Amino acid sequence: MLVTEKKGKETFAERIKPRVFKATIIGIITFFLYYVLPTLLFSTFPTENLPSEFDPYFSRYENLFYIFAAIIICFAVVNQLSSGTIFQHAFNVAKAIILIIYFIYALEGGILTLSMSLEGNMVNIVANLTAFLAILISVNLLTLAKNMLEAINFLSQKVEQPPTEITKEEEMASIPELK
Amino acid sequence: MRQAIRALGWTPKIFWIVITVFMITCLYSAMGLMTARSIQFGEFEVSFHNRTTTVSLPFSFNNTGLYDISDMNITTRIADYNGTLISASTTFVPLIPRGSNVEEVHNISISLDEIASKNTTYLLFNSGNFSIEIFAGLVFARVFPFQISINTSMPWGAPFSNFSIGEVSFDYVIRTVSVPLSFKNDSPYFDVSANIHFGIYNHENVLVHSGVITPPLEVKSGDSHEDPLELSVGPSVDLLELKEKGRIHFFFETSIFGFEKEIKWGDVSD
Repeated sequence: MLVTEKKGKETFAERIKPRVFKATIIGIITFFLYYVLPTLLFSTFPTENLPSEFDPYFSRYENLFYIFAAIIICFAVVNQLSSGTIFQHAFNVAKAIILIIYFIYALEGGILTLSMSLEGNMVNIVANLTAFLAILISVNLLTLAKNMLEAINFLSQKVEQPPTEITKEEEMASIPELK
Repeated sequence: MRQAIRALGWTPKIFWIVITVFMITCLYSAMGLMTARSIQFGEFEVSFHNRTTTVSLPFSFNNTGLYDISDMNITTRIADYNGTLISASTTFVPLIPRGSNVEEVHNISISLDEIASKNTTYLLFNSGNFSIEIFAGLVFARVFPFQISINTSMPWGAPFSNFSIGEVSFDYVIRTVSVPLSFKNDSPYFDVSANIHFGIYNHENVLVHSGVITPPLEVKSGDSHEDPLELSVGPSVDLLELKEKGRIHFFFETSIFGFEKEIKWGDVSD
């Protein structure tokens, strides 16, 4: 019995090891693609000539960008760790829903409003990003639909799988009265 | 099922690539437009024609971005301190293609006839602040509508600020009626040059004398007027009788506007 448990644990550790390794690699690549690369790209933007009144808005969107990168990286790692299970699809569905909520929050429902005082004058800037938000939500809804279909497909394949063949001796051994 | 999932898997990926590229180029273009001072304003010019003052503000928009800018409009609304609309002007530019420079002039017209029709003669006597609302809207990359509104104020100096007419006094020797008049020309834009027409009415409300005060009233911008108006009257007017009851009707006429004032003494019915 002890031998069997140890064997099972070893099997689990062996099984999880490549996943952890793959998740780490994917995590690093995602971190580079979604954090390092955009940060480098944004640093090339000519923001130094902008009035200092824009600073609070930039810092807000900087924070929102960090949150976005964190969501993407976390889900990329979790997705790899749970690959081949139903949880992978569940996490992908959760990611799509969280991203929809995130985009609605970050874009303030599609109408961005900035109010500031420039040289004593009240300046209001309104950007209507509803069309852009609609596109983002549509893309995430497509991802959501795809992940739900994948989950259904995964479950249906599980059901369709033939039961593993058990030998007569194993079947007999599993009955407690006969032990 | 598998084919549908595969198709659904590729579609968001393609969309994401397109959205990411579009967003980065949009941000880069917008930043470039904001920092390269793409909008340049020239020196404004003021002209007066057909009782309408026009302030012309030339501006140029150099679209150095990667996308077209369309439906650009600039609207200026000027309201006085009582909230009465003085002027509303709009300039519309349908399209500024990328890489091109568009030069336009935003004209702010203030019609004196319109102001007069709104019964805003108080503007001549009370200084204050005009509120100016500037709305600028444009559609960036044909997808993102932006609107900027600026609320500012402009000091309005009344040309006849603190206008007051004092008690009438009579000089029976030189036969003049003296009317103390004081005001300050707060207007930073123009000097007051007014012809003053007057009409003197007796206790029976009959016009006994009329004329124009010479020389015309001249008050430079920022100066005050404190001198009394001396109205010479002919021998036919009974000054003793006039002293008891009467009224004087003034009409101040400038090249831009005119207004009436009246002073009464005693118990005179209109």
